[in-house]
Amino acid sequence: MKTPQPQFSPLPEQDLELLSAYLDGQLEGPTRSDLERRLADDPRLRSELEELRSTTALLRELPTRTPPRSFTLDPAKVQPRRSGWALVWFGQLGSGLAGLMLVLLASLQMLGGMSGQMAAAPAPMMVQATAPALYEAAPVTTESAAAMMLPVEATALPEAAAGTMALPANSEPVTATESASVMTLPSEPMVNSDMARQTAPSDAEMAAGTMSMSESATPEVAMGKAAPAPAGVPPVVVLLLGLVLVGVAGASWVYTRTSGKF
Amino acid sequence: MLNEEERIIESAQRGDVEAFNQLVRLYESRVYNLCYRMLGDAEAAADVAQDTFISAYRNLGRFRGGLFRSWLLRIATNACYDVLRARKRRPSTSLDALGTSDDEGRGFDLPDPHEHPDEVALRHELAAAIQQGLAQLPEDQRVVIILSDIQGMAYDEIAAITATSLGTVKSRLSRGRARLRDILRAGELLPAKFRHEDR
Repeated sequence: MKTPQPQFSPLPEQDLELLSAYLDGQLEGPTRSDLERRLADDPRLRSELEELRSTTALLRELPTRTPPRSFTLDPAKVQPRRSGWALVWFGQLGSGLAGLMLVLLASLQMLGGMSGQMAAAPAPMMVQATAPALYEAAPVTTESAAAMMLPVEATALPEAAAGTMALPANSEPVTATESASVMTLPSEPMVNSDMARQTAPSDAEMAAGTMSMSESATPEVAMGKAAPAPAGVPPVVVLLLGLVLVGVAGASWVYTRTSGKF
Repeated sequence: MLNEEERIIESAQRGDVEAFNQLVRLYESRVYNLCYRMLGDAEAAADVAQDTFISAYRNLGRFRGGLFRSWLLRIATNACYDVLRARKRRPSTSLDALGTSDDEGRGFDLPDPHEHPDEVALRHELAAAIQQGLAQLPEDQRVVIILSDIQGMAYDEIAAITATSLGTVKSRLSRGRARLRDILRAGELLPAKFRHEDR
């Protein structure tokens, strides 16, 4: 049985390229005349040219295939997608802004932590100052919800604090317990904190209920005293989360920009 | 003709789907045939062609003039590359890509009723052999062979479609043709009538 062996062209690649361009009428001037002179003298070159010509002729004779269906677009299916892309765009913007806010918050927390060792009061003040901005920019982040808790906790009546104290005793440092509470908050924390913000001044029980969500309000916090360290999750975690959000938003933006491949 | 096309493109860019569908009808055969020759699989080619037009419609705002056909074929080429990359990750789905699926005899334009059945069979056999040969070429050589030798495009348009230089197009075309010639000869893929005599 005959075993076919590949027969690779003995011609240098440069000559093959010249022959290929010559076939397509791409050679001009002295390059063309030089090749034609060589073709007249070299039967191997002529044979190679004929083989390439036969190969291209076979390709040109390939029949055109009829598409199995029409590829026209259905207006009803195509146009609504545009609003979908708008949503994607808003999502990218929102997550990017939320990420930036978290990075800013983490920076403030870190600064607060540094100064908090010297004077404990500034830390919650700074968190309080940044919380409303977070609320507007990133309504779904649990960190912002935790930050929103602090003003409520600070303004809660003593009865509310007492109610909270009836919860299982928790004498751990605030930073550790609040960190845990943030991580275990339900998925709709803003509803609770928002409700607490609206009702706290007039309804101490509601405020107490909100506080009990956090399971972490020590008497010091409830009485409006400063926490000894920045509240919420460790700043590094907030920073990383912010960077991840910014990264996801950026990658998503790049992906949607390049999905057209052009 | 080109001015008419520009007018249709402008309408499509304003969201007129029917205007865009005129462009689809104009180029769908060319896009589908490029995809079919790249992928060697009729069904996959149809899917990629459809995705190409959807992607083109959604990104029509980014078309800044020039040849719309080139823009469209570039999207199609990139979509084919995506499918080929996915096949490499999942080799079990790439059997059709070898051109071994027996659909070469289907999907062509209607044959000449006066053509002898033997000639039809020979033509299909030849087409299947060439498709198998194409499937063995590296993808960058395959696409320039398809655009140049099957679709008859000029070097500069191929360079625009493949986002390469004229020199690269020439080089890939030359190497692709030589390699295809070697594949067809070495593997005896061609019907006997079309084989080159060994030197």
